[in-house]
Amino acid sequence: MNLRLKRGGRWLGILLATVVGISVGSGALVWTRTHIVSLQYQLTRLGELESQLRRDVEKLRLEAAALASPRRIEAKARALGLDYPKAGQVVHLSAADVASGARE
Amino acid sequence: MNRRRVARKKRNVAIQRRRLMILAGLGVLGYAGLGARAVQLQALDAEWLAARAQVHRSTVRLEPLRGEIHDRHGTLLAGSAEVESVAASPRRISDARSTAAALARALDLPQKHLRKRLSSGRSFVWIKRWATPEEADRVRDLGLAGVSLHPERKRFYPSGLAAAYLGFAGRDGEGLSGLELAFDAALRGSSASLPLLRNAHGQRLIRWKGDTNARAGARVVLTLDARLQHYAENLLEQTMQRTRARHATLVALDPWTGDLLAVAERPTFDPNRFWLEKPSAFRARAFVDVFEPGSTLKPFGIAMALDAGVVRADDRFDCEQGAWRVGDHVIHDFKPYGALSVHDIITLSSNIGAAKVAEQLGATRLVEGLRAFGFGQSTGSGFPGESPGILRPLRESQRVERANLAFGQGIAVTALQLAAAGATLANGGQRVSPRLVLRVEGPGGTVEWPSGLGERVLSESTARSIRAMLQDAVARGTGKAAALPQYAVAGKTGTAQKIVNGSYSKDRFVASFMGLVPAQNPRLVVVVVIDEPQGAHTGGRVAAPVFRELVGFALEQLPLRPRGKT
Repeated sequence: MNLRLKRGGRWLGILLATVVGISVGSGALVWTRTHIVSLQYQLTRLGELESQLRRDVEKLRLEAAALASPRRIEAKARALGLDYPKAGQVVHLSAADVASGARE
Repeated sequence: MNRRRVARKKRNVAIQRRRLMILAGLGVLGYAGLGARAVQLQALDAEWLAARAQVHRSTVRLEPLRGEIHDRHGTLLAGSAEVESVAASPRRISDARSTAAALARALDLPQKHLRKRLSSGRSFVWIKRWATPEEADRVRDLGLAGVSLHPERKRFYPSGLAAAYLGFAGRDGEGLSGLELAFDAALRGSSASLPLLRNAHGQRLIRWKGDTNARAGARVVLTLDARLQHYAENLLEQTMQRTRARHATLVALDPWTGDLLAVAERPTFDPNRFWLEKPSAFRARAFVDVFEPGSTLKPFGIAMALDAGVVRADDRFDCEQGAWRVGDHVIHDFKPYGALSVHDIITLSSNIGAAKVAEQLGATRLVEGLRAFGFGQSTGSGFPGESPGILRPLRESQRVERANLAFGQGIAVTALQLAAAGATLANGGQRVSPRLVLRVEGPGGTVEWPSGLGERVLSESTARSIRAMLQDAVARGTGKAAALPQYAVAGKTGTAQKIVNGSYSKDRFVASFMGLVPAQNPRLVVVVVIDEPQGAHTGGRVAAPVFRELVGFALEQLPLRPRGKT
């Protein structure tokens, strides 16, 4: 009788441990899936933010290019009374010229 | 005592066992319940649930940003950005009259036109595409029912330079002309579609797996130098005002690589508002328009005669005091000359002398020689719609046509062909294919456009000899206005009568100048073509000064590469 009781208890213990194991495993699986979905939402938000920032960068680059266009700069320079340098006024320096100038 | 203890123990074990049985039973029941629910969701209600889930499932299309176009130093010439367009659902608009009035004020559009569109009963109509940020804000502030703002891509050309050559992209992002059309496939890039889920709260969830390879369009780097291009365009603008010409075209080329440093023309258009411009302004004239070159062609025929050894530079030809009968035609010189050396035929630009040299060379060799310089065929630039020009074969018996061809009549060339042929004289006698694109930088790597010298057309000594003649043509001939104080210039003027109703006009001309600088070690070849200048109309008076201005700027202020370097 004692032996039967002991044997039955052991089976019950195994069953219980299995149930608990499956429960813990399922819980972990559900938690990881939920976490993945939550990260995907975050990724989506960040992806959209990145796209928006890229669009902003493009706009700013174009704006900078428009502001730096030769036509605009020339118009501004002429408004300030400036003109292109005359023949002989531009002196091109080589790397050696620059180096010797720096030494002097 | 012992018996009592055993009985208690048995009772405890039984209680424990019962508890465990209950717990296990509950567990089994719980899992059975979960299993049943799983069967219900996965099998019984699967179709219904799948149909419901479809409502929350869609795809999001990631459009790549159209690639940028840059000049050789990295200056941005064309780029894209997102702007907003205004649309409406007329079916959802109850009061078309007041909506039209409000939109007309916000967008500065005619109210009548808007009312017509909003009363169409359609489900979707565009009201204004590519609205300005201010206009989009005004529409947003109105908060009109049935009116919405949609993000769209727009192409911008920040400096507006080289408009006809860059071309433009349409409202749907496709290249419509010029390089935008030629490199459309590379510039567009490829889009990607990603699965999109939306939960009950409307939150978006993009599945970043599968085809996320939304590749941006390639970056196209041109050979143009934005500063020189701007200067050239300004010069042509002033020339147009001064001469009241129909068109003006300029090509500046590196004779060692074929790099086009500037290709300008006037009139031009604003590619940022191409839909408001006349299509005739879209022509890339340096590549597609042909003209009779007149005297600018003389050096090429004479170069072939010198190279073939049929004449020498100091051989003298009787220039018949300005009038020479060939068949039933009389050829005239601008001034009467007696005997001139071959050198002086170029320097003084004698039509009769050039015709007599061509007579020595023969019609077949003259045509073949001009073809070797690249006339009558595409230059290989790859530009869409490039004209091959016109160079017809001649029989030896066609004396008049041969004589005409020797001084640039009966042939049609593009400004680009003339510049490329000039580059052959400049680099010592080798063909060069002009290129407008330096490289295409795509996600898969960089593709360099081929450059450099091609087949030999004439010997180095002949090329040097022709350059010396052209140098004299500037120093003491018709091209004096092209001379620079600090550099020796070699060049040739051209003044060609235009053909009107089948005969040569007496008052419509094409003035041109083809020049190389510095004369004996050229780094730049420039061709200037002025179509129908009013008043002064000769190449020497109209086109040569433009050359001088441009070259003066280029050599003084731009770091042009040393000879032979790419």
